[in-house]
Amino acid sequence: MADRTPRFCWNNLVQAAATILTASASQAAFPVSRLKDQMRSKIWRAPIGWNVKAAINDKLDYSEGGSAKAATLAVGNYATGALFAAQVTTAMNAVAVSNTYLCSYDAGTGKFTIARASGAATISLLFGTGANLAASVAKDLGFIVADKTGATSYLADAASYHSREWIVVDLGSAQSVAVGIVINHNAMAGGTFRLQGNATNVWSAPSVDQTLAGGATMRIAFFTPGVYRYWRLLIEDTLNTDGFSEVGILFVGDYLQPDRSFAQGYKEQREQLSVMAQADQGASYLDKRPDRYAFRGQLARVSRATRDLLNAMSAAMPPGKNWFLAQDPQNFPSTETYYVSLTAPLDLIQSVGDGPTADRYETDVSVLEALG
Amino acid sequence: MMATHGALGLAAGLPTLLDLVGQSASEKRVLVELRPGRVVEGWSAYSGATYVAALQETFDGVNLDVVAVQTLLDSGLTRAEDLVSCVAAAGTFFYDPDITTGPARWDDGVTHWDDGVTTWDQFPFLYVHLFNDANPAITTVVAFFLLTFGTVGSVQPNLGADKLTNGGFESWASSTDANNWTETPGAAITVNQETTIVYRGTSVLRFTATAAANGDSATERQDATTVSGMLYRLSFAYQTDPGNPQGLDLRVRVHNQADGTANLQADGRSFAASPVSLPLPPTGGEWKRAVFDFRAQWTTTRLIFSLENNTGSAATGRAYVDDVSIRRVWRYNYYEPRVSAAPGSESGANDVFFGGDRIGQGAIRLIDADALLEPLLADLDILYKEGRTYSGGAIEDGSEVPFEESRRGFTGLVQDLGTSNKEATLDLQDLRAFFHRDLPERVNNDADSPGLDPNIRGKSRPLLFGQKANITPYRISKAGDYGVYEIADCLKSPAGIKAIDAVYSYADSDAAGLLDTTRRLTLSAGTDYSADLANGQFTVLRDVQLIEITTEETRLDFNDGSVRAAILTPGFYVPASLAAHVQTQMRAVGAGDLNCTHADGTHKITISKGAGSLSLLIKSGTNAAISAWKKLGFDPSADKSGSLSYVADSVIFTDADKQHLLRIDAQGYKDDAAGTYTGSANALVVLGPDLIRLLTVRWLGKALSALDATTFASARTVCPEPMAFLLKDPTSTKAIFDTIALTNLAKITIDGTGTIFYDPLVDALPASAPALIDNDWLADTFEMGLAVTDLYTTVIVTYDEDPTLGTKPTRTLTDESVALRYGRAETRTFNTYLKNLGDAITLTSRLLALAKTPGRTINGSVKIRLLDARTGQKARVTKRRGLDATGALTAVAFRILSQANSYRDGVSAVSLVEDRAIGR
Repeated sequence: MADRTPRFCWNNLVQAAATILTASASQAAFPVSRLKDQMRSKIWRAPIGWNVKAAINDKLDYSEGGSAKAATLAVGNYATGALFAAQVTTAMNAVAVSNTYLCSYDAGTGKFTIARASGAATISLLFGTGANLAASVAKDLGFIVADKTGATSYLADAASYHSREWIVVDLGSAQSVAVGIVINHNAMAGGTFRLQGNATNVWSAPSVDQTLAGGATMRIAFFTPGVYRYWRLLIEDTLNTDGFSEVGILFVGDYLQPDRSFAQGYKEQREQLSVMAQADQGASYLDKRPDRYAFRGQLARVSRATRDLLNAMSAAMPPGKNWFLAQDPQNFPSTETYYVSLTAPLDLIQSVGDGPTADRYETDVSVLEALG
Repeated sequence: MMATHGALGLAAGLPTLLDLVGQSASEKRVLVELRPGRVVEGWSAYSGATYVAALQETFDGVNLDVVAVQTLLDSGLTRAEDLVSCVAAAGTFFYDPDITTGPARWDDGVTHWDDGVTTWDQFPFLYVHLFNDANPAITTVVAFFLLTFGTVGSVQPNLGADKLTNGGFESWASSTDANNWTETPGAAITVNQETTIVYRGTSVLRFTATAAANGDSATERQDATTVSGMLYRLSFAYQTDPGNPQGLDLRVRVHNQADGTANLQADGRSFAASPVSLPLPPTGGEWKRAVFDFRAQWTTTRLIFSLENNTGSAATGRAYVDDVSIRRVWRYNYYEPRVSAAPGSESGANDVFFGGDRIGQGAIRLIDADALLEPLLADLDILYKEGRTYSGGAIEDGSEVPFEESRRGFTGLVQDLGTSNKEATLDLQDLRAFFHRDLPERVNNDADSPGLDPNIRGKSRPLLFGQKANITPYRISKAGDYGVYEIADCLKSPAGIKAIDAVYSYADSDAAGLLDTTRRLTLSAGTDYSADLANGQFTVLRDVQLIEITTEETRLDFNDGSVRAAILTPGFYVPASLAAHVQTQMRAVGAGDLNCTHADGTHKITISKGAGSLSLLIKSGTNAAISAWKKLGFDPSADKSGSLSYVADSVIFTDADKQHLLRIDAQGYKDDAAGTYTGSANALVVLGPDLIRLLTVRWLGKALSALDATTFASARTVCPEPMAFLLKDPTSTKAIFDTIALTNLAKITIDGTGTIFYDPLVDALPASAPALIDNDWLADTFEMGLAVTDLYTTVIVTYDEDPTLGTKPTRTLTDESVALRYGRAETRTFNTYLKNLGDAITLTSRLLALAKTPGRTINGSVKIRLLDARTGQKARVTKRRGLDATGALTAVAFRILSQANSYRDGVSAVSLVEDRAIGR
């Protein structure tokens, strides 16, 4: 088993004052600015349907009779598959020469079909080799990144219920990022979150492209630190029948790793918030409420450098300010990382010193999971 | 993500609220809504009578939605679903918080959004089309925003008005024809009214398949107006019999009304050309909820329920549907988890039998450690604005009660706001506080009525309900010398007053005070006065003071060629009739061309003759000692001669306020032509429930829908006794309501939703009355006792108060045994609005039936069973131990005296009193 030293992911650059957030699209009641808030239920949510953005997903490469064409979709929101299919049809026919095309959407299967409606010229969908792959709409239509040739009608490889979405985090200046975390999301198991980093706000070949692993509760990845100004969370979850993507907390930042793990004897429990009442003869009634992760342990023999980092964290993260505690980031990053806050400020005490041995410090660490 | 939180599509088999509170382990959540307001200014014309103003209030970076708009002129505007509808219909407003483009606005005088940060053109706009096409700039327009909070963070829809009619299947033309719905029975599947297995109300829709062949189906459908491209929520309760075979499906289909070629699919936003009937999962004999959030793509949406046999063979079974609604989803709101305390509902009586209801109180506490609420609450008007709580949650398996099924546990008005470093606290009183207004509201003033008698300036303009005699009208205008009198202020009446039965002119104040019918005259409509029933007023057309001709002043000596003496008949006359009488009597003894007239312009009598000669022997006449000439205004010191026409020396009339002693018999406010308040067009409003409806809607400004139609309609039959009262001094509406309730021996209650119920006490114990047994009482809460409260030997009922004299006839009834048995020799007087003695006799008897024996009382906490009950309603109590001659209680009828419901816990803390028969 790999090292199981915990990591404290506390400085969320997403919530820094200088950080500017932009999203592919947002519902008015759930703007992307909500990700500046530490409340996990305060979500960003994309509009229902397919959201087309220029230079992101507004191009459809195809060839007609061997001649490459690039259809350009009108930017905007298409709430239904039928409306989106109609827009694809319009865009393709706008650049067609001799054929006409029809894109249709089967709500039963959730799949788009792109077909030649009239004309005799051959048609290929250049989803693997087209000139505009960086802005291709292929994935939003449920097609994989590969050309489709040899037919006059192409059925998408997978269902699609909405478009890919993204959130760009402009840190204002290049900063080190080594961890990305997403919680309170609605992605299905097959949906992916990728955290990308780049020096510029251009995403055709980002310098960092890290998939966040995990499940319905959390997606997380620790990776080699990258120092970039722009970071992007790319959400590819077009199979999600909700018809939109949403995120409650997006963590982008670094982490603090103490010199060693918690001292032996640390305590983890699920604190019960439920309220029970009893009848005369013992029957119980339960007002169920969520339970929450509670942890009490001690960091012992930490170095002066770590002490300073912990003090900085304690000052910035008083009780009530939320951060991520990765208990075992190497082995169980997505299942043993918790969104917590300190129950009391860290109290670093010198435990070893007053001699040739370098000073060492210890502190109790007590946290409660942040709910809501 | 559930479909109910923003994802479109069908979610069925959802729990009901009773599933939630009935489970021994479930997660209850409380949602809180606040509706602070703001005065909207800066109006400009948009189109026709529609006006527009920039309006924005943000909370945490999100524009708040406007959910209501009121003006001083109107009780409330209806929210139009699109701008076109707003322009087309008066009494509407339109607001889309998410649209930030509109008419260019720069110099519109709206300062609150000129914060120096936000750019000028990023504001949503409020459009209003007021009643009567009024310009909002001439009145005060208040917009009410929606703030949402919860005990846990969640996303819930902000739902508009129901687009369906009779979605509860309460109204049926016949047992197979629900009003507003269209039934299409199958070959062996019927569509019926069901009154036994009900979800809400008294009836539901039932499909019954009896050996129906495979492929057979029956449908029930209704069309709803929708706006293309907008989101809607179809919500309903349904139940399928446990014995239904698999494949006998209850289904729901939503499509465009035009031709059914666009059928919504299960995702709520895609369409198929062929019919799509979505099957609902069977419920095994329990009621479940279903929600279908969808995006309409048409202006008319057709909803179809069906029972279809797809078993492959003949099938028998049943399915039920109730509580159907289609509502616009204005947006999905975030309910921020700031709630640290929220009240439950509370209602109760002040006394055992005879007191009015208490006002429920509670506090909403919102966490505000981040100081986000303070600026918002300071910026908006929060006092006396509505706060609501909803109780919902999730059952053991995690499935949630849909938002619209959540119980509105408390609807109150904010009385106080307090803030601290941690919290904002809003103290609320429930909507009964709304009744704490004084009526009449308007007073006589010079601005409305120039030249008012100073004695009535500042006095209330009276309100008249029912038929009253001996009303003193107020002269509000001196137009035409005699003026306009007001009987009742009709500004807020539906259609004025019903009738002026009689107008009396009294000889003097003594006669008026004694109601002396021998010293008054009944004035003639059209001659003496003209009625203006629409405004509750009448205009006196001529001098109507009473002139008394006594036996000592009956003679008129004159010479028309011969000396003559006319003899007047003693009695009372108005000047015009006196002149006519004089003429008659003079002609009786003299020439036929003698005339006597009274001129309202000069207020003088004129005696004339057509030809020949005429002298009035005022001084020299042989009957000068008993002459009536002075009474007619002629100077008694000299005769009149040398002319054919003589005008009296002095005026008869000087001041209407001093000389016109008028009293009125009148019938008060009448219903409108639609019979909105009584059920009968233009009827006099006299019954208790109708009076409550009238007062609540017209004077308190509540919507008619706030009154429970069923109980109010039923009460008309149970309480047929007419009432009558004139409100001329400011009186609390609570006192008025309490008096009406006492007069009818009824309970007026308000539930958590703000709905008002009218429940008369009756002897019958309904079969649906909750039956409480030992296990329903939470541990150690059941207490039973006997109280002497409200125990009286004598009860006195007053009725038909004289509106001028203040006298009240009474009816008294005594039972001496009360003093002997219980040592209570007390008397209690009950003031009522009853009109008739017979009804007073009946009421006295009923009150004594309640007051002559002490009632057993129970206090305790009941799990679930009384959550839907109201104060005044009955319950059967069975308990193995109890204060009873048998030592136990066996289905003893008790009446709910007070209750405090916690929907979150599913518990009602109640006080009950033993039921008494009152002979009704």
